[in-house]
Amino acid sequence: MTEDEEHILIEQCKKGDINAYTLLVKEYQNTIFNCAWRIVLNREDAADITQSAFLKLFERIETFDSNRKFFSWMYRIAINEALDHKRRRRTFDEFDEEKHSSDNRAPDASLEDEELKATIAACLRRLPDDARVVITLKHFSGLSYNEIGEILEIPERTVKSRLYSARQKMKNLLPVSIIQRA
Amino acid sequence: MLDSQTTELINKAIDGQLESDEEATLATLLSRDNEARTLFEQLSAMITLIEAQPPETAPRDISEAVRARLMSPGSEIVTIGAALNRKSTKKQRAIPAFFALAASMMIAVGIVTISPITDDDADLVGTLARPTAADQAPVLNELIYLVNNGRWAIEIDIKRSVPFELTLRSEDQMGSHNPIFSNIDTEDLQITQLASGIKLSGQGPVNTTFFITDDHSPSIRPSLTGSLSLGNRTLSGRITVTGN
Repeated sequence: MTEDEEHILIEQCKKGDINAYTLLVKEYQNTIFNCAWRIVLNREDAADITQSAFLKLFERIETFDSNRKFFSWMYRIAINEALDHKRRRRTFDEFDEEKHSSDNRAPDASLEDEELKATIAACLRRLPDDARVVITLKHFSGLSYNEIGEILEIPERTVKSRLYSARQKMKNLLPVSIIQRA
Repeated sequence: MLDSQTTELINKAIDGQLESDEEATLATLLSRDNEARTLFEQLSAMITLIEAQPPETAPRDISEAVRARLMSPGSEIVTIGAALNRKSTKKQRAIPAFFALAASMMIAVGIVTISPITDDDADLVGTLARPTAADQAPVLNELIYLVNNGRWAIEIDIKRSVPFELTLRSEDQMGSHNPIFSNIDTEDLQITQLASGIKLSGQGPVNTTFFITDDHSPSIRPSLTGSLSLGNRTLSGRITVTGN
Protein backbone atom coordinates (compact mmCIF):
# COMPACT_ATOMS: atom_id res chain seq x y z
CA MET A 1 0.00 0.00 0.00
CA THR A 2 1.39 3.40 -0.94
CA GLU A 3 1.35 6.37 1.42
CA ASP A 4 -1.29 8.05 -0.75
CA GLU A 5 -3.52 4.98 -0.61
CA GLU A 6 -3.06 4.79 3.13
CA HIS A 7 -3.92 8.48 3.50
CA ILE A 8 -7.14 8.02 1.50
CA LEU A 9 -8.13 5.04 3.61
CA ILE A 10 -7.49 6.94 6.82
CA GLU A 11 -9.67 9.83 5.65
CA GLN A 12 -12.44 7.34 4.84
CA CYS A 13 -12.02 5.76 8.27
CA LYS A 14 -12.45 9.17 9.87
CA LYS A 15 -15.88 9.29 8.24
CA GLY A 16 -16.77 5.96 9.86
CA ASP A 17 -16.12 3.74 6.85
CA ILE A 18 -15.66 0.28 8.34
CA ASN A 19 -14.76 -1.28 4.97
CA ALA A 20 -11.85 1.12 4.59
CA TYR A 21 -10.76 0.35 8.11
CA THR A 22 -10.89 -3.39 7.43
CA LEU A 23 -8.43 -2.87 4.58
CA LEU A 24 -6.08 -0.98 6.90
CA VAL A 25 -6.29 -3.75 9.48
CA LYS A 26 -5.60 -6.39 6.82
CA GLU A 27 -2.54 -4.44 5.75
CA TYR A 28 -1.04 -4.14 9.23
CA GLN A 29 -2.44 -7.01 11.29
CA ASN A 30 0.58 -9.29 10.89
CA THR A 31 3.01 -6.48 11.64
CA ILE A 32 1.21 -5.60 14.84
CA PHE A 33 0.59 -9.22 15.78
CA ASN A 34 4.31 -9.98 15.51
CA CYS A 35 5.24 -6.97 17.59
CA ALA A 36 2.70 -7.91 20.26
CA TRP A 37 3.84 -11.53 20.20
CA ARG A 38 7.46 -10.57 20.94
CA ILE A 39 6.28 -8.58 23.93
CA VAL A 40 3.81 -11.00 25.50
CA LEU A 41 5.20 -14.23 23.95
CA ASN A 42 1.83 -15.92 23.71
CA ARG A 43 0.02 -16.28 20.39
CA GLU A 44 -3.54 -16.07 21.65
CA ASP A 45 -2.76 -13.13 23.90
CA ALA A 46 -0.96 -11.40 21.03
CA ALA A 47 -3.99 -11.91 18.78
CA ASP A 48 -6.29 -10.46 21.45
CA ILE A 49 -3.96 -7.50 21.92
CA THR A 50 -3.81 -6.89 18.17
CA GLN A 51 -7.59 -6.95 17.94
CA SER A 52 -7.98 -4.68 20.93
CA ALA A 53 -5.35 -2.25 19.59
CA PHE A 54 -7.12 -2.00 16.23
CA LEU A 55 -10.46 -1.36 17.93
CA LYS A 56 -8.85 1.44 19.94
CA LEU A 57 -7.26 2.84 16.81
CA PHE A 58 -10.64 3.05 15.13
CA GLU A 59 -12.22 4.66 18.16
CA ARG A 60 -9.56 7.36 18.15
CA ILE A 61 -8.96 7.74 14.45
CA GLU A 62 -10.83 11.04 14.31
CA THR A 63 -8.12 12.49 16.53
CA PHE A 64 -5.28 11.20 14.34
CA ASP A 65 -3.22 14.00 12.84
CA SER A 66 -2.75 13.09 9.19
CA ASN A 67 0.54 14.97 9.10
CA ARG A 68 2.02 12.33 11.37
CA LYS A 69 2.98 8.79 10.43
CA PHE A 70 0.14 6.35 10.85
CA PHE A 71 2.40 3.41 11.56
CA SER A 72 4.11 5.21 14.48
CA TRP A 73 0.73 5.94 16.02
CA MET A 74 -0.41 2.38 15.40
CA TYR A 75 2.72 0.84 16.91
CA ARG A 76 2.51 3.10 19.96
CA ILE A 77 -1.06 2.08 20.73
CA ALA A 78 -0.25 -1.60 20.18
CA ILE A 79 2.85 -1.51 22.39
CA ASN A 80 0.95 0.23 25.19
CA GLU A 81 -1.80 -2.34 24.86
CA ALA A 82 0.72 -5.19 25.03
CA LEU A 83 2.53 -3.76 28.04
CA ASP A 84 -0.76 -3.12 29.85
CA HIS A 85 -1.78 -6.68 29.14
CA LYS A 86 1.52 -8.00 30.43
CA ARG A 87 1.24 -5.99 33.65
CA ARG A 88 -2.34 -7.11 34.24
CA ARG A 89 -1.39 -10.71 33.69
CA ARG A 90 1.53 -10.46 36.04
CA THR A 91 -0.70 -9.29 38.89
CA PHE A 92 -2.66 -12.52 39.07
CA ASP A 93 -0.61 -15.03 37.16
CA GLU A 94 3.02 -15.60 38.00
CA PHE A 95 4.75 -16.25 34.76
CA ASP A 96 5.17 -19.93 33.98
CA GLU A 97 7.60 -20.39 31.12
CA GLU A 98 6.54 -23.93 30.30
CA LYS A 99 2.88 -23.00 30.14
CA HIS A 100 3.45 -19.94 28.00
CA SER A 101 5.95 -21.44 25.59
CA SER A 102 3.98 -24.58 24.82
CA ASP A 103 1.44 -22.83 22.63
CA ASN A 104 4.02 -21.07 20.52
CA ARG A 105 5.15 -24.09 18.54
CA ALA A 106 4.65 -23.95 14.80
CA PRO A 107 3.42 -27.31 13.49
CA ASP A 108 6.02 -27.69 10.72
CA ALA A 109 9.10 -26.38 12.48
CA SER A 110 12.08 -28.64 13.09
CA LEU A 111 13.18 -29.48 16.61
CA GLU A 112 16.32 -27.40 16.22
CA ASP A 113 14.37 -24.40 14.98
CA GLU A 114 11.94 -24.84 17.82
CA GLU A 115 14.74 -25.04 20.35
CA LEU A 116 16.28 -21.85 19.01
CA LYS A 117 12.94 -20.08 18.93
CA ALA A 118 12.15 -21.17 22.48
CA THR A 119 15.56 -20.08 23.71
CA ILE A 120 15.23 -16.66 22.13
CA ALA A 121 11.73 -16.34 23.58
CA ALA A 122 13.01 -17.33 27.01
CA CYS A 123 15.71 -14.67 26.82
CA LEU A 124 13.23 -12.03 25.68
CA ARG A 125 10.96 -12.98 28.56
CA ARG A 126 13.72 -12.24 31.04
CA LEU A 127 14.49 -8.82 29.62
CA PRO A 128 13.01 -5.70 31.22
CA ASP A 129 10.05 -4.25 29.27
CA ASP A 130 11.93 -1.31 27.76
CA ALA A 131 14.73 -3.59 26.54
CA ARG A 132 12.28 -6.10 25.10
CA VAL A 133 10.38 -3.39 23.27
CA VAL A 134 13.44 -1.81 21.72
CA ILE A 135 14.88 -5.18 20.64
CA THR A 136 11.52 -6.07 19.12
CA LEU A 137 11.19 -2.84 17.18
CA LYS A 138 14.77 -2.86 15.93
CA HIS A 139 15.43 -6.50 15.17
CA PHE A 140 12.05 -8.13 14.67
CA SER A 141 10.17 -5.20 13.14
CA GLY A 142 13.24 -3.83 11.37
CA LEU A 143 12.64 -0.18 12.23
CA SER A 144 15.22 2.60 12.22
CA TYR A 145 16.40 4.53 15.29
CA ASN A 146 14.33 7.48 14.11
CA GLU A 147 11.17 5.44 13.70
CA ILE A 148 11.62 3.81 17.10
CA GLY A 149 12.11 7.24 18.63
CA GLU A 150 8.85 8.46 17.09
CA ILE A 151 6.95 5.43 18.35
CA LEU A 152 8.31 5.55 21.88
CA GLU A 153 8.43 9.36 21.89
CA ILE A 154 12.04 9.43 23.02
CA PRO A 155 15.13 11.05 21.44
CA GLU A 156 17.19 9.00 19.01
CA ARG A 157 20.18 9.00 21.36
CA THR A 158 18.00 7.40 24.04
CA VAL A 159 16.91 4.76 21.53
CA LYS A 160 20.56 3.94 20.87
CA SER A 161 21.57 3.72 24.50
CA ARG A 162 18.55 1.54 25.31
CA LEU A 163 19.27 -0.67 22.35
CA TYR A 164 22.96 -1.09 23.16
CA SER A 165 22.15 -1.96 26.73
CA ALA A 166 19.35 -4.34 25.68
CA ARG A 167 21.65 -6.19 23.29
CA GLN A 168 24.24 -6.64 26.01
CA LYS A 169 21.59 -8.04 28.37
CA MET A 170 20.25 -10.33 25.69
CA LYS A 171 23.74 -11.62 24.87
CA ASN A 172 24.38 -12.37 28.52
CA LEU A 173 21.16 -14.37 28.68
CA LEU A 174 21.66 -16.31 25.47
CA PRO A 175 23.75 -19.52 25.88
CA VAL A 176 27.08 -19.36 24.07
CA SER A 177 26.27 -22.66 22.36
CA ILE A 178 23.27 -21.01 20.71
CA ILE A 179 25.24 -17.95 19.64
CA GLN A 180 27.87 -20.18 18.09
CA ARG A 181 25.28 -21.68 15.76
CA ALA A 182 25.35 -18.50 13.76
CA MET B 1 35.88 -3.91 30.66
CA LEU B 2 35.34 -2.05 27.40
CA ASP B 3 34.96 1.69 27.36
CA SER B 4 31.75 3.28 26.15
CA GLN B 5 33.33 4.55 22.92
CA THR B 6 34.34 1.04 21.89
CA THR B 7 30.90 -0.34 22.78
CA GLU B 8 29.26 2.40 20.74
CA LEU B 9 31.47 1.74 17.73
CA ILE B 10 30.67 -1.98 17.88
CA ASN B 11 26.94 -1.31 18.08
CA LYS B 12 27.09 1.22 15.27
CA ALA B 13 28.94 -1.33 13.15
CA ILE B 14 26.25 -3.92 13.81
CA ASP B 15 23.62 -1.42 12.65
CA GLY B 16 25.65 -0.41 9.60
CA GLN B 17 25.91 3.15 10.88
CA LEU B 18 29.69 3.62 10.93
CA GLU B 19 31.33 6.53 9.14
CA SER B 20 34.41 5.63 7.09
CA ASP B 21 36.85 7.02 9.65
CA GLU B 22 35.07 5.09 12.39
CA GLU B 23 35.41 1.89 10.37
CA ALA B 24 39.17 2.26 10.41
CA THR B 25 39.19 3.00 14.13
CA LEU B 26 37.08 -0.05 14.89
CA ALA B 27 39.21 -2.28 12.69
CA THR B 28 42.29 -1.25 14.62
CA LEU B 29 40.51 -1.79 17.94
CA LEU B 30 39.31 -5.25 17.00
CA SER B 31 42.75 -6.32 15.83
CA ARG B 32 44.30 -5.33 19.14
CA ASP B 33 41.61 -6.06 21.73
CA ASN B 34 40.37 -9.63 22.20
CA GLU B 35 37.51 -8.57 24.46
CA ALA B 36 36.26 -6.09 21.87
CA ARG B 37 36.57 -8.67 19.11
CA THR B 38 34.67 -11.28 21.12
CA LEU B 39 31.90 -8.83 21.90
CA PHE B 40 31.62 -7.80 18.25
CA GLU B 41 31.48 -11.42 17.08
CA GLN B 42 28.96 -12.49 19.69
CA LEU B 43 26.66 -9.53 19.17
CA SER B 44 26.83 -9.91 15.40
CA ALA B 45 26.03 -13.63 15.67
CA MET B 46 23.18 -12.99 18.07
CA ILE B 47 21.62 -10.36 15.83
CA THR B 48 21.94 -12.69 12.83
CA LEU B 49 20.08 -15.39 14.76
CA ILE B 50 17.37 -13.05 15.95
CA GLU B 51 16.76 -11.46 12.57
CA ALA B 52 16.61 -14.87 10.91
CA GLN B 53 13.60 -15.80 12.99
CA PRO B 54 10.60 -16.15 10.70
CA PRO B 55 7.60 -13.92 11.38
CA GLU B 56 4.73 -15.38 13.34
CA THR B 57 1.36 -15.90 11.76
CA ALA B 58 -1.68 -14.78 13.68
CA PRO B 59 -3.85 -17.70 14.82
CA ARG B 60 -6.95 -16.13 13.29
CA ASP B 61 -8.01 -13.43 10.85
CA ILE B 62 -7.93 -10.39 13.08
CA SER B 63 -9.29 -8.02 10.44
CA GLU B 64 -12.51 -10.03 10.25
CA ALA B 65 -12.81 -10.10 14.03
CA VAL B 66 -12.31 -6.33 14.19
CA ARG B 67 -14.82 -5.78 11.42
CA ALA B 68 -17.40 -8.02 13.10
CA ARG B 69 -16.92 -6.17 16.36
CA LEU B 70 -17.36 -2.78 14.72
CA MET B 71 -20.45 -3.90 12.84
CA SER B 72 -22.00 -5.79 15.72
CA PRO B 73 -25.44 -4.55 16.69
CA GLY B 74 -27.84 -5.37 19.46
CA SER B 75 -26.83 -8.16 21.73
CA GLU B 76 -23.38 -8.19 20.24
CA ILE B 77 -22.86 -4.64 21.55
CA VAL B 78 -21.53 -1.65 19.67
CA THR B 79 -18.85 0.21 21.56
CA ILE B 80 -17.82 3.70 20.66
CA GLY B 81 -14.56 5.29 21.53
CA ALA B 82 -15.71 8.49 23.04
CA ALA B 83 -16.44 8.56 26.70
CA LEU B 84 -19.27 9.67 28.85
CA ASN B 85 -19.19 13.04 30.40
CA ARG B 86 -19.01 12.03 34.01
CA LYS B 87 -19.52 15.31 35.82
CA SER B 88 -21.29 14.44 39.04
CA THR B 89 -24.43 16.33 39.91
CA LYS B 90 -27.08 15.98 42.59
CA LYS B 91 -29.54 14.91 39.88
CA GLN B 92 -27.27 12.08 38.84
CA ARG B 93 -27.01 10.75 42.35
CA ALA B 94 -30.78 10.86 42.65
CA ILE B 95 -31.30 8.63 39.64
CA PRO B 96 -31.37 5.26 41.44
CA ALA B 97 -34.21 6.54 43.60
CA PHE B 98 -36.56 6.63 40.66
CA PHE B 99 -35.63 3.32 39.07
CA ALA B 100 -38.81 1.75 40.43
CA LEU B 101 -40.90 4.62 39.16
CA ALA B 102 -39.19 4.38 35.82
CA ALA B 103 -40.19 0.77 35.45
CA SER B 104 -43.85 1.68 35.64
CA MET B 105 -43.68 5.06 33.90
CA MET B 106 -41.02 4.48 31.32
CA ILE B 107 -42.27 7.01 28.84
CA ALA B 108 -42.62 9.75 31.41
CA VAL B 109 -39.24 9.54 33.04
CA GLY B 110 -37.22 11.82 30.91
CA ILE B 111 -37.17 13.47 27.55
CA VAL B 112 -34.22 13.91 25.32
CA THR B 113 -34.13 17.43 24.04
CA ILE B 114 -31.96 18.24 21.11
CA SER B 115 -31.00 21.85 21.60
CA PRO B 116 -30.38 23.44 18.24
CA ILE B 117 -26.99 24.83 17.40
CA THR B 118 -28.21 27.13 14.66
CA ASP B 119 -31.28 29.33 14.40
CA ASP B 120 -32.29 27.55 11.23
CA ASP B 121 -33.42 24.66 13.35
CA ALA B 122 -35.34 26.76 15.85
CA ASP B 123 -38.74 25.75 14.55
CA LEU B 124 -37.93 22.16 15.31
CA VAL B 125 -37.26 22.67 18.97
CA GLY B 126 -39.52 20.47 20.95
CA THR B 127 -41.57 19.35 18.03
CA LEU B 128 -39.19 16.62 17.15
CA ALA B 129 -38.70 15.67 20.73
CA ARG B 130 -42.34 15.78 21.62
CA PRO B 131 -45.47 16.90 19.79
CA THR B 132 -46.61 20.23 21.18
CA ALA B 133 -50.32 19.86 20.58
CA ALA B 134 -52.69 16.95 20.50
CA ASP B 135 -53.98 17.85 17.05
CA GLN B 136 -50.55 18.23 15.59
CA ALA B 137 -49.59 15.29 13.46
CA PRO B 138 -46.64 13.84 15.29
CA VAL B 139 -43.56 13.63 13.19
CA LEU B 140 -41.46 12.09 15.86
CA ASN B 141 -43.76 11.28 18.68
CA GLU B 142 -41.29 10.76 21.43
CA LEU B 143 -37.56 10.56 21.68
CA ILE B 144 -37.28 9.38 25.21
CA TYR B 145 -34.33 8.99 27.46
CA LEU B 146 -35.19 6.72 30.30
CA VAL B 147 -33.83 4.36 32.84
CA ASN B 148 -34.44 0.67 32.49
CA ASN B 149 -32.78 -1.72 34.90
CA GLY B 150 -29.77 0.50 35.29
CA ARG B 151 -29.40 1.14 31.59
CA TRP B 152 -30.12 4.40 29.86
CA ALA B 153 -32.54 3.89 27.05
CA ILE B 154 -33.52 5.87 24.00
CA GLU B 155 -36.86 5.19 22.42
CA ILE B 156 -37.44 6.09 18.82
CA ASP B 157 -41.12 6.32 17.95
CA ILE B 158 -41.72 7.63 14.44
CA LYS B 159 -45.30 7.53 13.22
CA ARG B 160 -44.98 8.60 9.62
CA SER B 161 -43.59 6.81 6.64
CA VAL B 162 -40.47 8.93 6.24
CA PRO B 163 -36.78 8.14 6.15
CA PHE B 164 -34.93 9.08 9.31
CA GLU B 165 -31.40 9.23 10.60
CA LEU B 166 -30.27 9.64 14.20
CA THR B 167 -26.61 10.37 14.90
CA LEU B 168 -25.24 10.28 18.44
CA ARG B 169 -21.74 11.31 19.32
CA SER B 170 -20.07 11.56 22.71
CA GLU B 171 -18.82 14.99 23.66
CA ASP B 172 -15.83 13.64 25.55
CA GLN B 173 -13.16 12.31 23.20
CA MET B 174 -10.52 11.66 25.81
CA GLY B 175 -12.21 9.67 28.55
CA SER B 176 -11.39 6.14 29.45
CA HIS B 177 -14.94 4.80 29.73
CA ASN B 178 -16.74 3.89 26.57
CA PRO B 179 -20.46 4.22 26.05
CA ILE B 180 -21.89 0.95 24.85
CA PHE B 181 -24.97 0.83 22.66
CA SER B 182 -26.98 -2.34 22.87
CA ASN B 183 -30.30 -3.93 22.00
CA ILE B 184 -30.39 -2.21 18.63
CA ASP B 185 -33.04 -3.75 16.46
CA THR B 186 -31.37 -4.33 13.13
CA GLU B 187 -34.65 -5.09 11.39
CA ASP B 188 -35.73 -1.49 11.88
CA LEU B 189 -32.41 0.30 12.08
CA GLN B 190 -29.34 0.33 9.95
CA ILE B 191 -26.22 0.92 12.00
CA THR B 192 -23.12 2.80 10.94
CA GLN B 193 -20.26 2.90 13.39
CA LEU B 194 -18.62 6.31 13.61
CA ALA B 195 -15.26 6.92 15.19
CA SER B 196 -16.84 8.74 18.11
CA GLY B 197 -20.41 7.61 17.91
CA ILE B 198 -23.07 5.86 15.99
CA LYS B 199 -25.55 6.57 13.21
CA LEU B 200 -28.89 4.82 13.09
CA SER B 201 -31.02 5.13 10.01
CA GLY B 202 -34.18 3.59 8.66
CA GLN B 203 -37.66 4.17 7.38
CA GLY B 204 -40.65 5.06 9.51
CA PRO B 205 -42.95 4.03 10.99
CA VAL B 206 -40.72 2.66 13.70
CA ASN B 207 -41.00 2.10 17.38
CA THR B 208 -37.91 0.72 18.99
CA THR B 209 -35.82 1.17 22.10
CA PHE B 210 -32.11 0.75 22.54
CA PHE B 211 -29.76 1.25 25.44
CA ILE B 212 -26.65 3.14 26.33
CA THR B 213 -24.59 2.09 29.28
CA ASP B 214 -21.17 2.43 30.79
CA ASP B 215 -19.55 -0.60 32.36
CA HIS B 216 -18.31 1.29 35.38
CA SER B 217 -21.00 3.86 36.12
CA PRO B 218 -24.33 2.95 34.58
CA SER B 219 -26.15 5.66 36.47
CA ILE B 220 -24.15 8.50 34.95
CA ARG B 221 -25.92 10.41 32.24
CA PRO B 222 -24.04 10.43 28.98
CA SER B 223 -23.48 13.82 27.45
CA LEU B 224 -24.08 13.51 23.75
CA THR B 225 -24.34 15.68 20.74
CA GLY B 226 -26.49 14.47 17.97
CA SER B 227 -28.61 15.15 15.00
CA LEU B 228 -31.93 13.84 13.89
CA SER B 229 -33.02 13.95 10.29
CA LEU B 230 -36.58 13.20 9.43
CA GLY B 231 -37.59 13.43 5.82
CA ASN B 232 -35.88 16.58 4.61
CA ARG B 233 -35.62 18.23 8.02
CA THR B 234 -32.60 18.01 10.26
CA LEU B 235 -32.07 19.10 13.83
CA SER B 236 -28.60 19.09 15.31
CA GLY B 237 -27.40 19.98 18.74
CA ARG B 238 -26.57 18.88 22.22
CA ILE B 239 -28.67 16.13 23.68
CA THR B 240 -29.60 16.60 27.29
CA VAL B 241 -31.91 14.90 29.71
CA THR B 242 -34.58 17.34 30.77
CA GLY B 243 -36.96 14.97 32.53
CA ASN B 244 -36.85 14.33 36.25
